[in-house]
Amino acid sequence: MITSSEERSMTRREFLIRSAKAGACVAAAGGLSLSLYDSKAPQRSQEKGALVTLPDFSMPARNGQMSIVTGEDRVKTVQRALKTLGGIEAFVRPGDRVLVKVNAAFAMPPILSATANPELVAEVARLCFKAGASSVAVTDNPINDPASCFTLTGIAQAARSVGAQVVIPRKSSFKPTTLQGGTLIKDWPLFYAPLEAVDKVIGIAPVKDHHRSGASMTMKNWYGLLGGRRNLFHQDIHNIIKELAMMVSPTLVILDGTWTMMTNGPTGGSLADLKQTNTMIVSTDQVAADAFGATLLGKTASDLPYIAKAQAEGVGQSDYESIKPFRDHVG
Amino acid sequence: MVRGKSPPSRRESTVSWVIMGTLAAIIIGVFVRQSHYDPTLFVPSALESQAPGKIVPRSLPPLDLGQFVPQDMSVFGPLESFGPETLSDKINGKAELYLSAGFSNLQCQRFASRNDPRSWMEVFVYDMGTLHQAFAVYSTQKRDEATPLDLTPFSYRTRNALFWVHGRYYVEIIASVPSEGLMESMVAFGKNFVKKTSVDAHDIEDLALFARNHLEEGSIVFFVSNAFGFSGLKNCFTARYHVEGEELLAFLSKKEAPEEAERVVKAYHAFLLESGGTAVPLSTDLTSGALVEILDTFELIFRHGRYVAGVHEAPTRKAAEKLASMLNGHLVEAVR
Repeated sequence: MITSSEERSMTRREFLIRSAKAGACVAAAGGLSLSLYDSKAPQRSQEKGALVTLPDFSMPARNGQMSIVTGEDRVKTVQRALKTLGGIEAFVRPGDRVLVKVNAAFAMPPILSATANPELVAEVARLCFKAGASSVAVTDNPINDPASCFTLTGIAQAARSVGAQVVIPRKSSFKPTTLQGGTLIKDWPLFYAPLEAVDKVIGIAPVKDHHRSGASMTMKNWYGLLGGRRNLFHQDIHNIIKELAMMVSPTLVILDGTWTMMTNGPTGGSLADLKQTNTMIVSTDQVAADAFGATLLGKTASDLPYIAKAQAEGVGQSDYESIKPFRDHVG
Repeated sequence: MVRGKSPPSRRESTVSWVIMGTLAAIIIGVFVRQSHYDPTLFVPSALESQAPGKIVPRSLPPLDLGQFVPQDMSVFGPLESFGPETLSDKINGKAELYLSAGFSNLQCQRFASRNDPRSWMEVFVYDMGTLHQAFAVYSTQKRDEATPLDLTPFSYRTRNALFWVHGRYYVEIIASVPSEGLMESMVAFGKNFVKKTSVDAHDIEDLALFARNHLEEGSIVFFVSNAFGFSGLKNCFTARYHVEGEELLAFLSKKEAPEEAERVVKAYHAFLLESGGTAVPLSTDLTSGALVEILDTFELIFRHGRYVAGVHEAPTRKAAEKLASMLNGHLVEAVR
């Protein structure tokens, strides 16, 4: 403790030195702050808005249904598969607004089966209109340039040829969402605009090998509803696919295994990557659809961890035989 | 006159605590805010600047792909360029395969036939940094239906696509339709590319270290890292052999020094045993070798000089030892 007897006077010299040191400290702190200051704030990729949540597009009375139809002709196999489930009319009612979420991830030609087949997309849209749908929109938020993807895959022309609208993502199409019970999808941009005013959602995906997840099928197809720097999720691919499946409860999923990309997925590039497996799967259970799809890739559901994870969350049933799928063949 | 070193008054103490408290609150606020970084709202400036045609660090200057295009083709899309941070924007889940092999830059562009605009091709030029790294992505993706080409030592075609390695570049050309006319244009592009793009190296000498007898042509694959799921086995070549009716996989990895090779042999042996393998005595004269039975297959590893070599997942012990002896014999001859 300093007593009053220890007090001493400060000389003018000491005062000036101390003042100079204090000033130098202030100047150094200010200079450091200035060097770190970013005068140009990061660009907002979207306006922060209220969190949105996707409604449940499934039809509880139709849960746990699946149809597996073999054959070379996608139009015929999807028609037959839907017919065995009661026809598209069982899922699409007059006046319904339908969204078809396709896989249009890459600007690649349809022969490479890296994206949803345009004939299949057109047929599903046509059937929806036939059932009385008031509108059918086809959409995806592709990896590559959206306009190129929809054009070069042939999906845009095919969809428009039957009167469906093609919805290309724009900045304003995204709104933040948080998945209840999720650990990855938190305040993340969702391609919400096309989902905002629809009654039914149908997912269409090809069966593909995938370098990170082992396979890309109906559950992975919802990846195209995410915005932002979604490739960050590749580090935890099985959990993000599980969360996507938790987030989207579709009316139907259609898994196209007419040609399966066996190797070098998800882009492929060569016809040598493909195998003709002649199978169309239509299901209200996306877990069951993917579990069966795994067999087309020469795998089992246990080879794809996200399938068990999704089942554990109650999304669906990986033991697809337990839901007694309808089986048929069209020549 | 100013008092010096006098005890602070209560007011001074209070003001000091308020200032310190405020600074602490600011620091906590900054940390809290940063831990809640919202990636949905911001686009990193580094990514914004990754515009087509821009140079990515470590890569060579951008190529003008148009200079390689034959006269019957015209530009069908803009030149795009992707670096390590943006590669997945182009090839999504396959990006990891390239990134783990040392990817530097990708340039791609579409060209269409002047006669039939529906016939188009997309050219992907991956700058992998080195010949070995380019060979790694080439060989790991090689298609079973590959038809060899004489474009470069490492080149092949399938019905609709062309793939080759030229120095540090791994190039793919993918056609929109399988057509011989388009394939001719693709091959012409490839020849122009090889002729006009100077590179430092063409051949990988280590490939000659594999014995030719019983070797399946074109089966050699190069792993930059993590061969057979073992992180310690880097820069490793594998080659398929057919010995006594069995398909076998031989491997070879050059190390900086014999001591390092010895360390890798021991580490891989320990890794196999930790993974549930059982040590089996060798009946060949590979004194530096070890044999492990694991999951009903045999894994043989040995060292010659600074080379680590072996046989992976052989169905029988006899086949593993026979191929290992063959490899060792060839290594002894080749590395003198």
